[in-house]
Amino acid sequence: MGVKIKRLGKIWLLGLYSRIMQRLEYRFNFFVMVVGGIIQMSLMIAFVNIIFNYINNLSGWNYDQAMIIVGSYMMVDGFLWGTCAYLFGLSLHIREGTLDTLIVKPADTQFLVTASQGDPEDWVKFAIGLMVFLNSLIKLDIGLANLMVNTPFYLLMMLNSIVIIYSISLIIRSIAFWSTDASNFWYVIDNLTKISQYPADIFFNKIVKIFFYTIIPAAFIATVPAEIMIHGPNFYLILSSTIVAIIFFFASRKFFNFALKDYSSASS
Amino acid sequence: MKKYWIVFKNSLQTNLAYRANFFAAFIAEAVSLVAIIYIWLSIYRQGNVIGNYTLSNLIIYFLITRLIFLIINAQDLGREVGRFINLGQFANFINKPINFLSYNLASNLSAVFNRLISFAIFILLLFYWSLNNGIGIDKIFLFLITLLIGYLIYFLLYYIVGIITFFTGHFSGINYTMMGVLTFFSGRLVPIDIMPKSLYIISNFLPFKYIVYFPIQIITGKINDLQILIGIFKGITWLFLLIILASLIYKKGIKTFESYGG
Repeated sequence: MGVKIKRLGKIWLLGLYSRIMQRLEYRFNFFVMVVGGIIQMSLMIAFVNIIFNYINNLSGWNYDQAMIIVGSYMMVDGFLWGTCAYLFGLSLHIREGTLDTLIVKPADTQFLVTASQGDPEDWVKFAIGLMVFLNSLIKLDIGLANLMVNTPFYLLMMLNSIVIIYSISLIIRSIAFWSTDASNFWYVIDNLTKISQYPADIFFNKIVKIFFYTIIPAAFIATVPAEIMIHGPNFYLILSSTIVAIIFFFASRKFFNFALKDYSSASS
Repeated sequence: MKKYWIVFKNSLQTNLAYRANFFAAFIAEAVSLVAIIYIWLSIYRQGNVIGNYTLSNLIIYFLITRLIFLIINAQDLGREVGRFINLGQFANFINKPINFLSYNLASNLSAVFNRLISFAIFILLLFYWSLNNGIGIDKIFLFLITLLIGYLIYFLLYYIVGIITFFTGHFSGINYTMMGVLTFFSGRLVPIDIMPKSLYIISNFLPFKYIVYFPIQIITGKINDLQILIGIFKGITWLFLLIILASLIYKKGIKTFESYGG
């Protein structure tokens, strides 16, 4: 097991190295990507600021609490793009037949599709998210003792968030194995996950709320981690989040392997 | 003109073949719209008021915004044009007696036409709503004109993003930046007039607000005739500036273009 993990880690590092080399081929473009990331994150913060110019709280979340959610979302988003960028381009690789190069390699295909490429420019999203998160945490002043208790649970919830978004992405992107052109599917995932940058409590309608806690568990992506960081561990939420993450992970793996069987190479 | 008509027809057939993709774009917009509407609903439920917008004003604003973006969607254009240049496929095009801008416009217009037909019912509902709310036929006509100007501005912005690949070698950075800036300053996330003063002033010096914000101001009866005329004039000015910019970039870029292989 240890050897296997070490081998997968090595593959991931090699993928990251080759991606950095690719990016350095177009240095100016890489620089613009980083600037673009900063602009995108700044505009996300600006949007929250605009809303809070008119209100004191959004469904019970004050500005700093809401920014904990935004920061958490940015970190999850930045982490996934920074490590699993190949997955986000899966439909293109299927359409152009470039997936062949991964399938023939002697390693788990899902792992290769997930982690063979990370976008280094997206680490800036993670860094900005971390800054936003820390800045809001300092302002909230939740106390050192609470911080010590809440942080490990927060990190566990963030791990669950990553697994949940990853699994949703894998399921939706696997549809590309059947659809000739699924380039707009990324847009569905992007909009679905972006919902999680807002407090899940805005969905006051019970049916909608259940939908965003179960079928599309956007609430577990940033709201639940933020809630646990601010108010302390809630074992019902921790258990639910973990169960949802496990279910989604195994469902996505099953679905991916099922879809992969229908892959027909488009390369020459 | 005939050759661009053929491009239009061919692209139309291609677009019809990719119905799943079209459906995905619709789902994505619908999901995003639900979230945005819920944000405003929860704000207004608490008794807050945003600018001089009522809740129904805001919901209508976002419904029209999403409808317009669904129809004119051209954000893949920058990527497609950029890849065309980046992968060297442009080499096959360079000797053909076809204008690159017109070719892309014809191809993109066919996609817009396809979506226009698909969402015709929503457009008719919008006009019906406008007429019932005291907006005259003249305003609907002006709305359509400004929508056309807005679409062309939107198209040109992404076309320029694509042809910048001549100089940068890759399109992704500038395309990504454009997506963020355009989303924000076009009024897609929030109406421009509820932004803080500094951002409001900046947006007035940019072309983005003519894509959706300005046409919506007309169809919802928020601005008077003089403001409409000034807006149309400014929109057309931006359109010409972007055409000139696109031509300059293309002329300079084609000289730097290099392609290897057979």
